[in-house]
Amino acid sequence: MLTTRRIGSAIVATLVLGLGLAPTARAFTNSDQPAAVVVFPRIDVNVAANRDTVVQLTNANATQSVTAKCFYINGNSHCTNTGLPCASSAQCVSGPFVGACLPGWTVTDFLVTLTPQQPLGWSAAEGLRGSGFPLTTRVCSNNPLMACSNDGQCPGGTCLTNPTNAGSLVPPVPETPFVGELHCVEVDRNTGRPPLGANNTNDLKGEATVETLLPDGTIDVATANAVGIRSNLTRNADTNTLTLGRGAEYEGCEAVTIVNHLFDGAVDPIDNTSLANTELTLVPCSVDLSGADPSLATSTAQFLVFNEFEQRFSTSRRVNCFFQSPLSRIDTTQPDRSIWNASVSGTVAGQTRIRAVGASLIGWARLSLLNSSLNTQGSAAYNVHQDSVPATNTILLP
Amino acid sequence: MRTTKSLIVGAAVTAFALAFGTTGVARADVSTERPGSILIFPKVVNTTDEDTIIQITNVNNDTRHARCFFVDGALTFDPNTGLPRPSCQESDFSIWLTRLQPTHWQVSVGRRIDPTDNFSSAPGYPSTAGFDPGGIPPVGVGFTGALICAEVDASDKPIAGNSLTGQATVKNINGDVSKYNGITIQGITPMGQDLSLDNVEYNGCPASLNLTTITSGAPDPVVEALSPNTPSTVRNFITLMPCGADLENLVPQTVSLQVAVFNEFEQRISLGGPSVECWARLPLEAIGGGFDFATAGTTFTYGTITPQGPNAANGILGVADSVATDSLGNSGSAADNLHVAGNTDTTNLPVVTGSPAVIRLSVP
Repeated sequence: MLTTRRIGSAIVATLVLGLGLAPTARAFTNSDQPAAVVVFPRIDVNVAANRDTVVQLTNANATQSVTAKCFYINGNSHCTNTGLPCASSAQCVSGPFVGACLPGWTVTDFLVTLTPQQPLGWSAAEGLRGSGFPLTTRVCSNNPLMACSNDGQCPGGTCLTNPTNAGSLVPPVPETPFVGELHCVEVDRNTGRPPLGANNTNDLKGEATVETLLPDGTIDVATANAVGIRSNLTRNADTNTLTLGRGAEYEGCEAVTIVNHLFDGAVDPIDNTSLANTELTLVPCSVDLSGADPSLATSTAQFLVFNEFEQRFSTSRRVNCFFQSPLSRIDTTQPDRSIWNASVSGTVAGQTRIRAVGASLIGWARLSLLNSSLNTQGSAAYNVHQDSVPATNTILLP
Repeated sequence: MRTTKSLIVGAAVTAFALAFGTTGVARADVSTERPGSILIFPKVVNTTDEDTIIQITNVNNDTRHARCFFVDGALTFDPNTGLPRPSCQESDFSIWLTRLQPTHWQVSVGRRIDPTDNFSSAPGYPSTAGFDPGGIPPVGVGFTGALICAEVDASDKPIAGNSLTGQATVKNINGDVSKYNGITIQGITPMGQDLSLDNVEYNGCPASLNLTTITSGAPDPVVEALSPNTPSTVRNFITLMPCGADLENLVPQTVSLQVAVFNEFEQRISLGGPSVECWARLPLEAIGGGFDFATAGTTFTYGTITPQGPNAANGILGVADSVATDSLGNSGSAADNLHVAGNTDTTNLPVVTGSPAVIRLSVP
């Protein structure tokens, strides 16, 4: 009896010890590892304002080609009367008529095949098509620039049967100005759906660089990594519904997003003159990429803001499909009164913790330092941090 | 008796398997987006042209303490060889952060303890208002190196609080700004002043670093399309440092690298790589000739950087930055965190002989 008790105690103790010591299983999104789904939260094109985004998408797999089904989601709002992009109804005045400025979230999809370890890049304003792709046909082994269909066309070499980018097409963004997001999902080229189980791998990595040519001729460049959602290789089912979360097909998006920032209006410590401004982009982790159900991509972001005195401020904001705003305009239309304004917070640096109620949130941040006396501006994008536990989300493919 | 022992052993094995199995495979990577117990900023500069703002945040609901070390990677002449090599000198300090407290400082100035400093939003009056995290020394002009912080308890014993996140913002005299996330390494069960990145005490170093760039020397697609000031060109730089560091004996760690570069034609166009001692910031094409446009022949290139050879266990960490310049000399730069490869306990460590990387803290 005593022995049995000891065995039982050993099991309990070992379980406790094991559970206590076992490293917590982490199943979050990643911006620094290849993944099966990559999300570029901010694609920004405004040709009239000399702004464009360079998108880079790479297949990190050393042996297999990968096909990605990609979706631009247009985050522009449009005037009901003119159909033009707008930021508010004040921009929808046409003669005596005033229209409403309504969000639309239209989706444009395309297919890209990347050969093993191939990097691809394109201007979002121009896209990539035809001969813009490097490997559209079979090529000679001794000259990859020479297209061929048989060995006889490759003197001294052979006509390779290597994988190509054939069938790929990247359209330009549907309008300019354009602001929105880009999702790419690793799929089986034949079915257009995520491969089954272990056939699905985590091969895609991406970066987006927003470049703006400023009026004074200087170039403003801001780069951040795409956010990756890794496939759980053993559980993935061959359906158009991608489930995310602990123990699901894909790793979960985090319940809490952390943005470390300088408060808006804070004086840049380096030149003592420039003023800081941070723009935050949030997109829901759940999304219907067929465009049929925008309600899936809705969430309420609850913001907790901490300054260097450990003081806490809070606010909340609805996020529908795509959200982008300077920090100090999230909670008010008067930035000087915002909890993100340095004069309100009283310190230069801050931490904002965002808890999503509804779909989890994926984010990017962009810091700008504007020197009005020298008329210079520099900006930099960066990926936000994550914490807490992975939440359950769903991505629906068409 | 034998049966009982077998039962106990069997039960223990089963329980362990159950316990660990149900929690999934432990992921063990460095990260640029999660809190950790070791926080590393690979690129910190204070030159006549550039300065750096460091932000560190405690994401924990308790007060946290960290020991930090500036590691100087500036080249000095080795008296023994007469050749330039990184001094790898360190200067250390401690910070305390109250619950969820962010802090910041400018590396050329540091941050002194001054409970009377007030906030000002007027230009010309930079503010260090807030709870001072401790006396933070400035770095001298010409400093180019790294900052390493390790979370410790009140007695300076390393702990696995996984409470630290951070960013570095580099700004030059032209107003150009680049920013990257500090690299975090999560603690598991730290055991002393030697921080073993072995997936037992701390998560391991990545097996390799990966990056995709506009090829060095290639025209910038956006400038070419939108600006009259063409031709343009892109230059890339990479800052690298071994994962391991000996901050007690100030012995520079060295790691040899194998760099494979692939162009858009899927061709592997270079294979080779440098050794990095302590810290280095290099033109990207200097670590792999394939990153040069004249060699690659395509606008975009992808590369993998893998530690190799007998000192590969020292591992490698880094951050990249690129500069686009038009024909009039106008330029803009951006920093970018590198991707890492290796995501399980067994594949995460560099595939080499030798022991995993160790960061040896100086005696408090």
